[in-house]
Amino acid sequence: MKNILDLVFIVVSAFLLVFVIAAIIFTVIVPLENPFAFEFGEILIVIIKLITSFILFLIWVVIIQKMITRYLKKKLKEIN
Amino acid sequence: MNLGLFEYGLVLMSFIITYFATKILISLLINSKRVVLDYHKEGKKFVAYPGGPALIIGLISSLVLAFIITNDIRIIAILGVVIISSAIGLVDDFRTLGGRKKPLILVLASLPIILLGTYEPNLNFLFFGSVKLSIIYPLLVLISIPVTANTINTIDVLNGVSTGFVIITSIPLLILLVLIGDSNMVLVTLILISVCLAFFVFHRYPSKIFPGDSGTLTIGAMYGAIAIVGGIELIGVFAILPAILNSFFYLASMRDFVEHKNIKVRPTRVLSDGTIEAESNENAPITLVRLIVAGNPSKELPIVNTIFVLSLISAVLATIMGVLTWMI
Repeated sequence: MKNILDLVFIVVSAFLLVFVIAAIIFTVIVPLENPFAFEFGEILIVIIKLITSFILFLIWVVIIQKMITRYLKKKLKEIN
Repeated sequence: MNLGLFEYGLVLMSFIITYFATKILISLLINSKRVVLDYHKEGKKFVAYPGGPALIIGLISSLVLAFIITNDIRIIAILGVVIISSAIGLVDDFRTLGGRKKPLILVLASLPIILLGTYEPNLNFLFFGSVKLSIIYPLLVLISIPVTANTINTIDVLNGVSTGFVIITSIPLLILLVLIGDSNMVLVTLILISVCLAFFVFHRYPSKIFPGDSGTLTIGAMYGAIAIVGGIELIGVFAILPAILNSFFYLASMRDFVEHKNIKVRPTRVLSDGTIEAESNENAPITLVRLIVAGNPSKELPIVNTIFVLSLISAVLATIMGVLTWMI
């Protein structure tokens, strides 16, 4: 269980990051009012909200992936 | 929230049915030479496979009786999810479905929840209140069941991990449902824990049986269904975070849905004494096990225990978040 602390750090970081991203989605993106006057404005705002949330989710994936790759490279260098 | 004698009896019965079904299935599978090699053991050790039918028998019989006792339509939705995901899993056990096909077909398992309307399109999040997602929520339901089923399926690489993981991560769901006072969903969660516990007796290190895709997809899909139908989706996601991370590492490093059997470079190597070490080839997929043994070659049991410790930590975090959400 030598690596457990590093892995706990990664899991807790992932947890906190989800929390931050959810905070942005729940407080900024979801309450956005429809600024469009035309007929399909309601659908367009839903699509915009979905895409923005998906981009935030991808940012989470990229950050976690960078953390993991750095950790793995460091550990594999230790044995070589 | 009160469970009666019948409900507790049903939970005990689900344990007994699964325990004996697994015991019988092991001898049937061994006699019919349906065994697979346990890669992570010294020498050549073969294990009975697939054990999914024992889990499926335990879950379906208990859910049918739970519906008879409670008359709750939500249990029918969960039963539908279990039946469809187990059928897909059984097909996958005997005729491997492709890595891309499997998640797509698993979308079918979400349909009972949507068709029976057994969900509330609200998401409750700590500090940020409740949000109604009338249009997006059904789409999230369609994605959620394949995600949880595949997530549990992907983490099932070592002895006892999938069933042990589901037992640990179902506890936050159970605690939250008790606090909410949803006795029918408490009963269903107890059935899932009890069935997994009975199977875990034989699945734990050193395994006598592997659940196969039929087992892991079924318990993963049922876990997702309980989280959605019980209205505690976010707690469910947080509790299985180590497994979700495992799936993301794998997908991100492979850049495709690739079946484990079709990987060109395996994430870990097994040495002649049974020690597991991380593959240093950059093309090897990144998995939780590879991260655990990176720079720290270990035997199988300490790796399994590390996964359980990680799942326990995420379960505790999810419980704290759920209890705070419930209190505020």
